[in-house]
Amino acid sequence: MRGLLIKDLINLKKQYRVLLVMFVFYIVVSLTSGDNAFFGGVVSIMMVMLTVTSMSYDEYAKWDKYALTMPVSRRDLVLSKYLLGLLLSGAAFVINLLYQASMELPYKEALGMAFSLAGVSILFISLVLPFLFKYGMEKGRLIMMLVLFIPTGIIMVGANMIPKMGLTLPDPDVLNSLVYILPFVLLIIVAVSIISSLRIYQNKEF
Amino acid sequence: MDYALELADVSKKYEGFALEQVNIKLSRGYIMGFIGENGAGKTTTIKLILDLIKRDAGRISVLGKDNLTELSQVKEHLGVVMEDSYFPDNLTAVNVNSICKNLYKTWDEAKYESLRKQFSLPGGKIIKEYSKGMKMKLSIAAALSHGTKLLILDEATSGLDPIVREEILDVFLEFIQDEKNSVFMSSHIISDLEKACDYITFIHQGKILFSRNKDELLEDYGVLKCSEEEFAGIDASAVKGYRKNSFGVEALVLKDKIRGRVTIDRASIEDIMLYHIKGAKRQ
Repeated sequence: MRGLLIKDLINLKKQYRVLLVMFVFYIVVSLTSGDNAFFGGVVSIMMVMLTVTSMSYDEYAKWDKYALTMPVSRRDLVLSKYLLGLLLSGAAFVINLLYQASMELPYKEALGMAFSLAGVSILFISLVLPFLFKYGMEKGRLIMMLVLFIPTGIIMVGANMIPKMGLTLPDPDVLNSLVYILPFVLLIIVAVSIISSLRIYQNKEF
Repeated sequence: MDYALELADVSKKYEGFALEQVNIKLSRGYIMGFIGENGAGKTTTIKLILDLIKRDAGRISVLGKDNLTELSQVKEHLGVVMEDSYFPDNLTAVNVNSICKNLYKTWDEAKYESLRKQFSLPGGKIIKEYSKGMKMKLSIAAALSHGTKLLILDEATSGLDPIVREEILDVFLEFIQDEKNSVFMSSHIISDLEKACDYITFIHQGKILFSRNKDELLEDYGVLKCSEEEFAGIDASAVKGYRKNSFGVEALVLKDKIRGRVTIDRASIEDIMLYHIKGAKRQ
């Protein structure tokens, strides 16, 4: 397992330089626009997308087939991608915290933002990985886009529709209390995702 | 008997292709060549051995362990080189060492380094910039550097120039000097196999035509050259395949069964394979 993670982290080395340049660019954008959340969102998405990039590198080299001839199980290969996603979300979390600390954002707000962005990252890989394992990168990429855009679309349309239909949003207090349930919901989604990926991968033929 | 590799009645059905009742036994200490045309089922067989695809029937054991339930116990000692799968592009040969060190408990850094130098693989160049031969050499270096006892090669020498193939074959021959080590190699470059192998297994349309000692095989078969009239007088059971040309008939025959004064040339493995597949059959 450690070998697999080392492989991914080294294999992604070219991406780090690109990321660094992008981060500097988006810091400037954030500073000029004064929108702190924007930079945070960019960092989280770009970091967690590296998991997907590592999978397309693997697919291109037909690495999985090769790795399975080593003392590596199918389970190891699946779990290593979740671990990589978690690790990268963690790194994004730290970058976000540092950034917000330097912006002198209130401690509570900064932490809240970093945590929710990490949550979104983890949600993203949990939704996407089973599809990528099942359909491979080419078809998987398309599905990944749908996973990203459909919820965004629903939220945007919904936000427009709710007032028009004469519905009111729930009381902010109710929404705030929901926040405490979310980590548990996320945990369940992660668990279901891992179990499905393992099952999909167990039956995969190379 | 303790086999390095044993397949018993292994079958796998695809649409339009089936591997049927494959039986292969490779004793420890030997090199077996696995020959057949493209699409005869070589890669499928190797994938079945490695549990990369699911079989429909039969039993496979690798270094004495069942390949479905106990393969993880022997993977430390299994070296595999496949034609089309490598370490990902952005890694270097030095990176491969740090990765494998963490994947194999049995990883032998010194051995890997010496093979890397022997193959003159640069430490810092990324694999993306490697030639095909270099990629293959890197895979082979990795495959031999972890207390390897069984080496499985799928077309590992195809697509390489004769110099590189020679170099690689020498490494295999050195590996086999240790009598506990075995090699199972598929290839359609028959001359390589003729040089290196102790046993030849021939697969055709998903079925094993024979799996035998190479020297016995070469001893048994011969290429008969004669006129059509002479050919008509020859026992049909002796003829494995023949073709007619303007000078008469050339046929692959079992030498033992031929009586009388005829010329029989030595048959190469390539002849044996070609006549089995392409040669006309006598009724």
